[in-house]
Amino acid sequence: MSEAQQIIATLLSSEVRGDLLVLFHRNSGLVDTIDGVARRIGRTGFSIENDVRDLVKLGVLKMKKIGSSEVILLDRARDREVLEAVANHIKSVNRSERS
Amino acid sequence: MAIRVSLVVETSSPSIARSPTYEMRPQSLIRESAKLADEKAFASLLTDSIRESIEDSLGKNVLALLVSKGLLDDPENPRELERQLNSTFGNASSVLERIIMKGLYQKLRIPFDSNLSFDYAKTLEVARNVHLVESRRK
Repeated sequence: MSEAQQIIATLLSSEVRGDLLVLFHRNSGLVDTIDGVARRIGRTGFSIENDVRDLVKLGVLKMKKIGSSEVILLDRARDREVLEAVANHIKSVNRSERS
Repeated sequence: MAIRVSLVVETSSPSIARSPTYEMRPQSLIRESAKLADEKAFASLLTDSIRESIEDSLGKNVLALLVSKGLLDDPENPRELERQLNSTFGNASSVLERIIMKGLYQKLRIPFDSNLSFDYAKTLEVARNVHLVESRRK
């Protein structure tokens, strides 16, 4: 599996991750706790923990300590890189389909 | 769907044959054209949902590439959309299909239950029926 395919698999391996991507891309300045983020997509903090962790590992999201709370936010620079990698992957698929 | 409308010309000559469409009543014409407008409105909502869902999850560039590949050429054909997404994203395509339907359901104010088993074509059909019923009520 290529790096881009791994990225796609990580980004879209569950509906929760899809919801998180949509939420943070629509609200790129959003900073909230895991429970707050979960509420925004109609879920519980516990149910999104694993997905948040994997998106943080990929670098699209990052965690930050603010006072006594830990918050989640979009890493815009890394997000751009990741989406660019996905776009390049599609371009290469298109090229190989044409040839 | 094409609607054939014949021009109604009053004539006393029995030698002029009337086409079957000549008899179409204005009421049924109005119904047909309202139905067409509803279907067009639904197609537009669906296209918007596909665009927004792809852009909001994977960005503008990915959307532009998929559109150039023909993603929106036949948006109302669920099998074609599934095929296109699957050829590009493999198993991840099912999450994109869910995101698209969730967006469409939000636009139509239909609750979307993520716990139910998901079938893109069936979910799309439910949305279409709800839209048509709601439109007729208005």
